[in-house]
Amino acid sequence: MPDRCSRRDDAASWALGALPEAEAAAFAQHLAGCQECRARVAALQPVVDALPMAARQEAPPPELKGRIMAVVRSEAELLQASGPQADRVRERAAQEPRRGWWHRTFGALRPVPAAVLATMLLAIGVTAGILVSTGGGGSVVHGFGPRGASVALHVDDGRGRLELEGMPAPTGGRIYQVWLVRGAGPPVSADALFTVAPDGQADVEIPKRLRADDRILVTAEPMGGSAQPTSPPVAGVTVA
Amino acid sequence: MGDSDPRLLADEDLMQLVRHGDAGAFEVVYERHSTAAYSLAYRMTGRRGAAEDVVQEAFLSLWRSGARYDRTRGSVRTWVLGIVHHRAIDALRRSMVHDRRRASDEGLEERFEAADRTDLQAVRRQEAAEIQSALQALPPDQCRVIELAYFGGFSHTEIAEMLDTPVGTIKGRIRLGLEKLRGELGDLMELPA
Repeated sequence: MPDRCSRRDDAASWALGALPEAEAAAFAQHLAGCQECRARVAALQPVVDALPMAARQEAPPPELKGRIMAVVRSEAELLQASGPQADRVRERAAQEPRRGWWHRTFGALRPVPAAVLATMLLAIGVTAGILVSTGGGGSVVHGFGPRGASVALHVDDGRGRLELEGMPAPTGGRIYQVWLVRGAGPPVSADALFTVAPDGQADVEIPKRLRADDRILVTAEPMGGSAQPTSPPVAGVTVA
Repeated sequence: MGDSDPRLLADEDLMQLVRHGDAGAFEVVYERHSTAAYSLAYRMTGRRGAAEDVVQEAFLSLWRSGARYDRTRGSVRTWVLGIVHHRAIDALRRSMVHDRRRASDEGLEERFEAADRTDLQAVRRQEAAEIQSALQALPPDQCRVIELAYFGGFSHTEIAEMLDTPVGTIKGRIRLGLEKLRGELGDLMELPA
């Protein structure tokens, strides 16, 4: 390749992402008109794309997959339940009989004895719907939430109270909103809006009466709340 | 395609399903690329917790923006690792851990689960070893600036200050290093998913 352009070093730094912001913007303009630099970048880009493999390969902890898949499955379910506004999962709904979130998430684990299943779920940190205690004062189940947060639902005679710890505050002028998903129905506002204290705690009474297998989801919504969820759930729990 | 075992599908076909909200297809994409993603994130942040956060953010971003994947612009793996790289740089800038993380991989143990010991994983490990070897075979000055730029997220002016070396010298080392790597790696640079 003849070296007519004097910016060949910049082309390499560009491919590597090492140009400072202002220089990168200027070089982007240069690239648009310099075929030689475009060819240089194209030649070096595969090298840069291969660099991640220079890191020592280490498998992620198994619980990371559990956390990610819990969010993915709950979002798929919520978007599906949101109806025509949801722009995803409609094809899947047409392909297979509708099944519940719990079934989809943990259906493959059904052959595992209940005690082992509970231990596995606790181990991977996906504790949606795990009954922690019962007694005269009702039941407590733990759900999923952001990393480092704990989500517990206390239910006594159909009255629910969501107890959250370590929750990040909603950002961008938003507020948390609680949703109730019953059976295959769409999410319905549980008439509960809240934010969290500076230490990440929140104690939220749920005005609607709860039944077994109801799912409670929390999303971040504009101030005043929304008629339908407009963002993915950040926390959730299934009533025991 | 919907009734097929997603594990038999190519990455590009899986992404079509992910685009339509197929959690099972997404799970396969995660299984195929999470080791490379986590390894990159850990190499960049130097902390397991931060690496987990980066990988979680990156894969959830992939799940929510699957429609943005364009197969004409590269493999799914390159796309995934590009997202991880950007997220890790963001995390570094947010947490200001530049001075705390280690620039070396020493002390890390390879912890492959038995289920990961597939043929593809074996090929990946071989590929990783060859790329590591090619990088380490560069003159130390060239290797260092490439590592600082790619894994550290530093610009060439930041590296120049750090090493008390003229910017022009740093830029030259980056170019020479990348060109040598290109010659060394050859066919390795486009391993199919």
